[in-house]
Amino acid sequence: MNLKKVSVYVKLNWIKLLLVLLAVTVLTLTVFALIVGMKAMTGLESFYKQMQLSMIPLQLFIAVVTAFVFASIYTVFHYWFFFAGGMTKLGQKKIKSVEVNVKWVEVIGMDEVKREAWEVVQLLKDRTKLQRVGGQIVKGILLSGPPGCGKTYLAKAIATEVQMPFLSVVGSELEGIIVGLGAAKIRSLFKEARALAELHGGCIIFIDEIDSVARPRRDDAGFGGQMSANAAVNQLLTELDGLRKKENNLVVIGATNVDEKDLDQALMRAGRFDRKIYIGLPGLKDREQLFEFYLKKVRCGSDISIGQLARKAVYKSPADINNIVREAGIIAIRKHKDSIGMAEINEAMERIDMGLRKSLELSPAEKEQVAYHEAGHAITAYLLHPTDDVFKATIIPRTVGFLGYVYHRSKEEMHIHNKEYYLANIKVALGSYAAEMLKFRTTTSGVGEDMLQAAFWAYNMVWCWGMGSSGMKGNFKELSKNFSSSAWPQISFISEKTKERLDDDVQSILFQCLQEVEELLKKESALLDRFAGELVAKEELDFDQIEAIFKECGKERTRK
Amino acid sequence: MKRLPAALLSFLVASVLCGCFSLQPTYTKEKAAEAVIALCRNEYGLKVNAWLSGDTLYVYLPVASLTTTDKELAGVIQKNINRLVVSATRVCLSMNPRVEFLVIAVTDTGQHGIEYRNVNYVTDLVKLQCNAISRNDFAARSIISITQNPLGVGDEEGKYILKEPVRKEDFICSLIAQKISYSAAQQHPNAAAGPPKAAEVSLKDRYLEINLLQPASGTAAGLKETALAAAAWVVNEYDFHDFDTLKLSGPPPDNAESEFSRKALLSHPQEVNRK
Repeated sequence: MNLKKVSVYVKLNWIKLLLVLLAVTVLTLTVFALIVGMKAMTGLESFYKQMQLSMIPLQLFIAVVTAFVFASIYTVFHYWFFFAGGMTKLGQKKIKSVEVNVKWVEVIGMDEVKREAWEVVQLLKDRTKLQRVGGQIVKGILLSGPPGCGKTYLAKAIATEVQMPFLSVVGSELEGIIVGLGAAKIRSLFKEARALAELHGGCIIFIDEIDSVARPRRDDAGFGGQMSANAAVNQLLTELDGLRKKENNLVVIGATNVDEKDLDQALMRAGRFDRKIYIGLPGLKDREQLFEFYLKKVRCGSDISIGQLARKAVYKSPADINNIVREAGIIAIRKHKDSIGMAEINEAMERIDMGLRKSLELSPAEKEQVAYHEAGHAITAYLLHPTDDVFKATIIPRTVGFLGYVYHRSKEEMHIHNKEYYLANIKVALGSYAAEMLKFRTTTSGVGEDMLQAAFWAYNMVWCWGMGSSGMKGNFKELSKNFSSSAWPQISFISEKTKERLDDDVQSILFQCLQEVEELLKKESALLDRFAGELVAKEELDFDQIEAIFKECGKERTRK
Repeated sequence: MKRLPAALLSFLVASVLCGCFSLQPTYTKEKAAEAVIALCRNEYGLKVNAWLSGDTLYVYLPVASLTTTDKELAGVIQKNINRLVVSATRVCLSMNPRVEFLVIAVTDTGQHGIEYRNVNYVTDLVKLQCNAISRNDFAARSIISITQNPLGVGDEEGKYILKEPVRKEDFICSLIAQKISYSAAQQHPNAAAGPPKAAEVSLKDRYLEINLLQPASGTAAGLKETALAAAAWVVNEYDFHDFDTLKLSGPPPDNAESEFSRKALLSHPQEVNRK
């Protein structure tokens, strides 16, 4: 019975017993070693005993110093590993407050955006207003929109206006090669910001390209990379929530080029980024202001027409406009001119859009071929396009790969287009093919890009926007996508018969457009010859020259 | 139970302090000779004789045959001499007050009475044990002589040996003379056969007299330089103050004499290979 009790006790407490046994063994051995050592010590002759004893103070001193050194190293490493981020701190650079000096008036255009941001500025500057009504400050502002539209510029202007420290980081800087490093960097960033806010009464954190650390969280594929990204998003969420808990006058401004739907939805909800401001491409009035602003900084010729430049710079961002003016300055210097004229600005625009001129010698036959090709585009665009003006036609080869091009754009940016617009685009694209066929009874590989464009527009008209002649309705392009998350093909939502009818519609549009273009060019063959001849002679025709040619031939644009 | 670590620590500290302050010498000066005899007998089975003369401890080891047919110290004899030195050193070091000199005498009692004698300054032994000097340095501070005395034949007790205490000034003089001889002959001090005598050194009326003999090799000027360097090194190392002037004479045939004050001697370049 007793033996059974012992057996059960051992089973239940074997680890404890093992440890006790180990401790007793160690203690016994230690005592034994001490006894043996003491006995040996006492057995030593007085001189050797004296030598051993004389060593004790020195050994004690060395032991104390060694213990102190090791204890210090252990303490530092222990603190570093468990309290100061440890390995995650590797490669982490200190984020410092930067001096910004962008005045509010220097933010050109974007009046709506500025109005939105100004409210935040006012609240940051005078918090008593908000506290009087018991409201809470906006803690997060998300600036989104295409690149070069002034998101960073606006954020800096806000910081300058409110006279607060400005911590600026790029999203990619908050990533790290080690899992947890991104989160640690975000933690460190907010820690720094809170300290600055306490010191200066407020602080602005600006995270450029925030999409780097704000992509939607998802499962990790097994390599740990997504875990790190998820941890960074979680940390950002935590820090943004933390801003609510304490009134520390700290605002986070994020800037991104990606759509809001491509960012983590938890991050985008109200309470984190309260105010979302879209900064789009500048309108005509904004572009005029931008040209005026940037041209003020350089010496301009008397021929500069801000209105014409603004019309020509459709879809150009503020950064593009700044670049155009800068490039024009360089061109003016190269030409030994003391001011920038329209010619320099036009050249700068071409250079930015189309690349540099290529020193490529075309044979007379090739030149003629390219001239008729471009003339086909220009005449079709001029006579058939409902919205676009023809700004330029050239047969000078460019480094981007063109042997020539026709530059046509609407005077004003358009945000929605009708069926006629797309048909006109197709016709303009096919103009080159029709012109080459009409003149040479053959075509070249130069029409490849045009055919692609024409087919692209026709495909979208039929498959996406219900503009086909057979009357098929639906966004078939979306339906043809694979909605399943697995790699296995799913059941198709579109029948083969439907696909055939849609494809027939695409070809129908293309043939119909081509027929119209061929008829037009046959009818205007004299104009075609004249335009191509002018291009061969001058190689490049600008807006006024093009207008003059058409007027001389008695042609007016169909639209008014 | 809570006070156990403190109690253990106190006990340890007290033990160490007691050990430091109540350290009794293992051997007494009066019983030093008996201690050496007992140690050699008990630990190495060596039959030696020892006696104390003033501040000098003599240890005598009779051997049947000291050298081999090649006139070198036999291996077993060398081993026994080392054992003897260790035992004698242990006694010399662990007594208070210590003796000043240790003389080891090994005599070939079987043939011709050849005697190997080694005189050591005990302070040098302490320095060696504390690693303050190297073994080579220690060897350079030992006076080694090999002589022949027919009285030693069959003397197992060491009766023939003059049992006079070694005086420090005699040790210094002998050491200087030995160093000059070895340096003049460019011979290592551990060599079995000693070099030819190159100088006689004595202390008279606060004059340290060095009489240089005919050099075996080299010039007279070279021998003088050697003598001055050796004397300077010994006087400096042993902090010897019992003289005011060094009188240097010889070597023949001109037997020129020169004198140096102690200060002038110490400023002379010392023998570097012995430092």
